[in-house]
Amino acid sequence: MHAWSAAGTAIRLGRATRIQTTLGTLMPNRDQRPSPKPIPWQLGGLLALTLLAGCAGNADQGPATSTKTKTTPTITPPPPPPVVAQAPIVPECGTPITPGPGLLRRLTNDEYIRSARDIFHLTPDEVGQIQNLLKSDGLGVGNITAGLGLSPDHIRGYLDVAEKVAEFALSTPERRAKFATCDYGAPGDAGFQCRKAFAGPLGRQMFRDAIPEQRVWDLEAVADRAVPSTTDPDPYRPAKLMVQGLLTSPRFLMRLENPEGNVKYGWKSITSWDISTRLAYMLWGTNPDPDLIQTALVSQLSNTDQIAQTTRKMLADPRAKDGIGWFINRWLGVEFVKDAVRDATAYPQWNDTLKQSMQAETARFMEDFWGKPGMNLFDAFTAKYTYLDDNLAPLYGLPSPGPTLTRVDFAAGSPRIGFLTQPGVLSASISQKELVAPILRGKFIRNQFLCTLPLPAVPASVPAPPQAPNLTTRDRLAQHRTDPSCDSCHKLLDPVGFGFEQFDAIGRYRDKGSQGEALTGAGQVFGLPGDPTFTGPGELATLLQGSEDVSSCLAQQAFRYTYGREPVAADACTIKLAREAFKAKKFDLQEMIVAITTSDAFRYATVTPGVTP
Amino acid sequence: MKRHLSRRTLLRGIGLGSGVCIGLPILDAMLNGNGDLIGRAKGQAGAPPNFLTFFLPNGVFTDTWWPNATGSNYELSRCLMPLADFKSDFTLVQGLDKQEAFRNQDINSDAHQRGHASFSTGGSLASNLTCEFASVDQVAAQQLSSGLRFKSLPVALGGVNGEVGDHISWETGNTPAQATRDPALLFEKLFGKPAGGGLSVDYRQSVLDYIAHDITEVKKEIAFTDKARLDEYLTNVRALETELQPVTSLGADCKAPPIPDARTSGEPPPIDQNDGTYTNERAQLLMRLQVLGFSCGFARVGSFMLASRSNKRQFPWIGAVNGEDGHHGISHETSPTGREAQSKIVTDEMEQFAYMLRLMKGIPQGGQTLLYNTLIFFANECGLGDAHDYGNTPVILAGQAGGKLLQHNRHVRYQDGAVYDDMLLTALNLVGVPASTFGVFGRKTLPEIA
Repeated sequence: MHAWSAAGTAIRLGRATRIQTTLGTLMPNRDQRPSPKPIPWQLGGLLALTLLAGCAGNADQGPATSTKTKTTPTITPPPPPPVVAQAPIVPECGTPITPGPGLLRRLTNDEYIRSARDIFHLTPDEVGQIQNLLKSDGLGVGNITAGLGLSPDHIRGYLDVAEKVAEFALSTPERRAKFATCDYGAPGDAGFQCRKAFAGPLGRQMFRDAIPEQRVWDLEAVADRAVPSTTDPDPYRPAKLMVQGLLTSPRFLMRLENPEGNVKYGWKSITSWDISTRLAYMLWGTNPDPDLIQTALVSQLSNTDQIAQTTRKMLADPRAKDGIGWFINRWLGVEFVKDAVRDATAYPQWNDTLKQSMQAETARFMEDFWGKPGMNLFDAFTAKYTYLDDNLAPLYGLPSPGPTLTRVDFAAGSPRIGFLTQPGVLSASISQKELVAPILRGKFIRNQFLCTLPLPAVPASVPAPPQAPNLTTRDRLAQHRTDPSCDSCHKLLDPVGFGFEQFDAIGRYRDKGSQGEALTGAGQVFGLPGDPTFTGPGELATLLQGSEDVSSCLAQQAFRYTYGREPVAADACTIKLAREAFKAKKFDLQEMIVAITTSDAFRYATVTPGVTP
Repeated sequence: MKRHLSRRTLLRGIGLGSGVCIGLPILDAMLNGNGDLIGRAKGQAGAPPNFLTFFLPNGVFTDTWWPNATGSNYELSRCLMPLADFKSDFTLVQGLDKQEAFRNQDINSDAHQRGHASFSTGGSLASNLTCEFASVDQVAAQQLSSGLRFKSLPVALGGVNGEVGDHISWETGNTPAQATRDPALLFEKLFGKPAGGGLSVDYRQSVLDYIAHDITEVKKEIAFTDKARLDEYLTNVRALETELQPVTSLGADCKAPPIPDARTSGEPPPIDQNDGTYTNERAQLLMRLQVLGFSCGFARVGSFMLASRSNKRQFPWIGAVNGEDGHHGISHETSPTGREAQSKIVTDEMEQFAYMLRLMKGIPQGGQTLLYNTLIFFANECGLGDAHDYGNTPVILAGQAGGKLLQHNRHVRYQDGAVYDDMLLTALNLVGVPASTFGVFGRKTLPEIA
């Protein structure tokens, strides 16, 4: 997002050749050009013609190369509104692709903390001190922007975090020198100039954009509030207040996008800066680092080859565990283990350490299926091994390989297979009540893998399940199938969930139920072609692995993750193309991600001239 | 050299307990003739009443909730016995049909999310994360809260899962009024940071000033993006600036309580871990602080969510514990044991509602009491819990609304059903908001009530 500054100058890297035009001062390089203010088509004859000439020409050049700027304006009637070319029909979709609007997304709490950590070089202990100061929005929200709050209580949290981070970041000469080597606390103009040198580059990195001088003045105004005195003798307080302003500014707290130029099919381009921000948060879950910013500034993100290359490089970086790794764990629902509660008497081993091991097991396992190029993500459904430590091995009934996660292959005939039988995935999805476990597990499979939404409405009056004490779980739930008002919904859930009946509330295997009955894991997936039956999670895994619905659903989840919103009808083609790329490359997740980041939906935004969407 | 000047006078003064005085005088315009800060609800003639909504989840067991007799001076049912001392301060209403809960069936949700969404918004879900309309307390606040430190005090006992059922108060359909769930934070909001916590100088107003300016600049710079979130940030920065204005004197009605200790403080987890987080002790602490917010004149509007269904609150002190599904699980147990446990839970919750009434009735205000000057709209998310029955949603109106609602000690029953939204509309009118409609169905006030 670029700030137009007619009077001031922008602090930028690189060349700064200027062309005088009737529109003011413009930069020729597309990525260093400030966004023109929207000009109604009804006004300004020559002005409109100028823009039109620029825009109707080569779509990648933009209005800066107009040659009409030196003509004397004459009074001419305003031109008719431009005919916006129609985006081409995409063959796979039968419709054009429709990019969404430019985004305005608040950082999630995790993204905020990681960004602050990376920019200010915080230690793990310091991260621990600030982590719980932000008001939680709950696991259910994920990174869907509509659910991320900005209430006064949230803002109090941001102020508290900013205060602490400022203290940490400027606490020693070595740390201060990371940002500027002059004396921040010097009195008078020396201190002022030093703080300008400190805030400029830092602001650019934090605001993920060029920072006009006026914004640095604004920060100095905050710094001015802290004239050292006997009550606050800290000479670095002015600089610390600048840090607090930087951390609470909407330019840091939110990902602001101002798509610009290039009115192609009614689209505008996402700028190179903003592409780098999208990549950083999608792939790494944190702020763009100086290397990535440099890449963006030298315009290496203006075509798809460059974006693809950068995407692959970022996926190979360990930071991808916080971005794509988070997405994959979210796909499996394993993050919800954090909120899962178990009765302490029945499950004394259920504690935070065990939960962390469960999440770590699934994360480590899944890395084997997306962490390198050329892998098939869906092999994870049926792989016959996992990673165990001292906490997890007892759940498997296997000897522990040691205190840290170590690969353990399953013996032939083991009931364990892929991630569906990992304790984290099994536990996150269910209540500990035997009676509802099949329903919730069925709902989990539907939600996470088949995107079967919405379910039919619950009837107004739900009869009670049978109370006879000696019934098996299957018998207790039988009425769900025999009563038509229940069956319409429960046939989608219970028969799927029964496939997991051999695994208890914390993921241990058992072959007998509460009444001593043999548990078989027999189930059925209504709605898949042929309404196939299966026995046990292994066969269910194979069904899901081969299902068109599962890859479509993953593409939908990936859309939600990438754009932070629920898809609408106009997004169907975007999602379909991601899914087709995924299939074409044999379920290589890295290739799907590259397909997403190089797609038109990622690089453009749909806008209506003169109207804010 | 063009430097940004502060757009407004920065208020600095004595934050309670912060121990610093950088002296600007309190502006005369903020004081009334008695030298008290304007906005203190001392029951002055013409002062608007207070308005509180109070929510319980998971419904009731109708046999132990509804009294047999209707009309005046009826005998309280088992679950209503805790309100025995307050019969002349509340009216029980039966027969309210909350049909709007069923709207928007295309949204993937469960019945309880609908029950929460429709508690006081007059509509239902708009998505899994939002509602259709602002809730009745926020509508009332537009009028009742002008000039006060807080537009409202939304308070809740349970933690956040990240869905519509976490909230009962909605500033707009899209934006929940985020409840304060941490007693230490509620204390800090009302009375400032305790001494010794943090820096020697409170710079927060300076930073907020900067943020507000920056948001305004950003809005000018962005042409093609939805700015609603920026507006939300700006509105709440300004709201926080107002909240952070220090209060220099509290007066007789208002004494800062002891600082909540660590045991009852901190953000609660989203599910009741049965470890002492969702206790009545903590609920009562939150209620005391909220009521102080009213009696000190900091706010006139509030909401109190004693729990949400998704929080799965446990009740070990009365022997009502259900695996990890808590109260929700019990509300669906239709065995005699289950019904008994549900009845015990509802009675225990009504003890907490009685606590709220007792607090308010114990605060004298201008010859009456805080309760007299307040209207409380109490409701459960539904009637018969196991059936998620919205057709007969229990409602209680408590308090005299400053004199507008004097007739209590009644069990009003609408045999043929009445419109739930009409009750919300009636409540709005009772606190002096001249609305003629509310929500999807509210079109008239209920003459039996007011």
